[in-house]
Amino acid sequence: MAIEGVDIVKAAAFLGAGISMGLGAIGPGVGEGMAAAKACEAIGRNPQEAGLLTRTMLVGQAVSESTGIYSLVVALLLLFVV
Amino acid sequence: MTLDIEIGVKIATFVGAGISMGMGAIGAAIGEGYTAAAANSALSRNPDNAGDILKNMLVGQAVAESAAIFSLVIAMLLLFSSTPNPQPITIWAYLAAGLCMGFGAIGSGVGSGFPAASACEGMARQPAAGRRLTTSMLVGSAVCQTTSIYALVIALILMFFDFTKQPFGPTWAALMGAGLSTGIAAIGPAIGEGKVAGACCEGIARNPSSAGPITNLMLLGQAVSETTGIYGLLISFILLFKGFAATPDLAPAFGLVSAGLCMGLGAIGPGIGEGLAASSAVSWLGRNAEAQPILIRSMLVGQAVSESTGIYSFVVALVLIFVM
Amino acid sequence: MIPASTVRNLQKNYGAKSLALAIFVGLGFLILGYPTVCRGVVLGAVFSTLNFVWMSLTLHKQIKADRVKASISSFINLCCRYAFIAIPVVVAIKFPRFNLIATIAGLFTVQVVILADHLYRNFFFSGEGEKGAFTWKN
Repeated sequence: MAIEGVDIVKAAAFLGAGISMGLGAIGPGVGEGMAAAKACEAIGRNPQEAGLLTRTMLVGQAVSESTGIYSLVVALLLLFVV
Repeated sequence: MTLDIEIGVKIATFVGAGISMGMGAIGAAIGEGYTAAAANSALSRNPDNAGDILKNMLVGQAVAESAAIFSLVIAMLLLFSSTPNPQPITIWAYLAAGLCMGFGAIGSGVGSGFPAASACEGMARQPAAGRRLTTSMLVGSAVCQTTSIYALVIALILMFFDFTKQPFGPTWAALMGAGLSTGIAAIGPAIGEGKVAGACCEGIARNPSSAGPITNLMLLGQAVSETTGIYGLLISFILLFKGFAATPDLAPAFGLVSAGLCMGLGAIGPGIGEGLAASSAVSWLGRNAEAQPILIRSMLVGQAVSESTGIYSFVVALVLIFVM
Repeated sequence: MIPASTVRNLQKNYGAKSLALAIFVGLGFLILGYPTVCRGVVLGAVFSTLNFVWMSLTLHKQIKADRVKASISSFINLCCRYAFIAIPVVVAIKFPRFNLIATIAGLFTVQVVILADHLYRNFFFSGEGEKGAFTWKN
């Protein structure tokens, strides 16, 4: 079985895609969890402001989500473009 | 050539057993040490209640140890059971089984340390709620063990299912991916569930009268944190039983390993994050019982958003398996 | 400072219950005609109980003033205990007289007894559950 250059490149691209998405999912996951934890804390302290707090939490989470989406884009590029 | 394969299988059993037992013991040691430290501070705060604190510590450690016993069982099976038909694929299966159980036991060991620690501290603060605290601690740490049970199931399938009929081509990679997927994916959810259970014990110690709602919210939060671990288990089952066409190429094989790694690593973050969100909601329910409905709602919204990156990893893993 | 008697009572209580459960289940399998399963369950349960007793006897070593010494001694202790629990698994793999799966299941007897004891007390005697062997009064 002759291992060709194209094959190795493809294999590396697949591995890279998996690692990119896998590692890239850790940060946003933990970060969004922290945002949600603080929002729950604030709502527990002050339930009247729940609507505002939930909105703020969602905005913060959407921003933390961006690096997860970058990883997804990189993974898909590695899978389908390279 | 047959001699080489036999030696390879032997090496794989030693390495697999070492990884399984080593990592399992590390997890249990961290969890038990954390419990002991908390029990120490609880004893210094309330020496009159030493008997209850010590009993709670003993019971908590005994239950926290189950994950380590799982990895011990896998290690002993790898070391001492005989292989009837050694093939090159067996080497990969044994390695993957060791990795799967090793990674799978770390999270459960560490995670069940949190509820035991919080229950010991809570017992110093609120001696009257002792029995209730121990029960919630036990339920919480039993839930923490579920992900290590997934890892145990996958490791047993890897060891005892007959993969020799399938083509060596991509199957070695599918087995490795299956082991890594469930194993690594077990870490995050178990730690997150442990955090939730710890917050539950803390909340009960603060407000014993609302122990019922707090325990229910803990179970809800743990169930949501568990989901990414279940994705990992699903990917493992697909990799184990889909059956792949024989190919000598490297690329499809690496795609399968990569699918396992992607799902495994991708489950860590959401598992811990959802655990943090739920633990905060649970601990604030102890302080402010009237806010229950709104706390549940915001906890679920926050967890759903944290889940998204886990779902991306799941999708990428499925693409790697089915499209590539 | 530490009342050893309460921990000893707990250890006796759970140890006795685990052994009783194992003997009961083992006798059931013996009557049904599976002697290897019976031997396996009892073997696993004996080692599970001894491990629990070992844990409770060395509990005070984890609560010591010197942090480094306590960490080292409890880690060595942990490793010794795991080597000890490995014995029944190896015995069951080597000798077909003991059913392997039953032995592994037997290793979790103490955990099962602890969980069952608490859930039973909590869900069936939720009001006045302070009775019985496992009370929270010293």
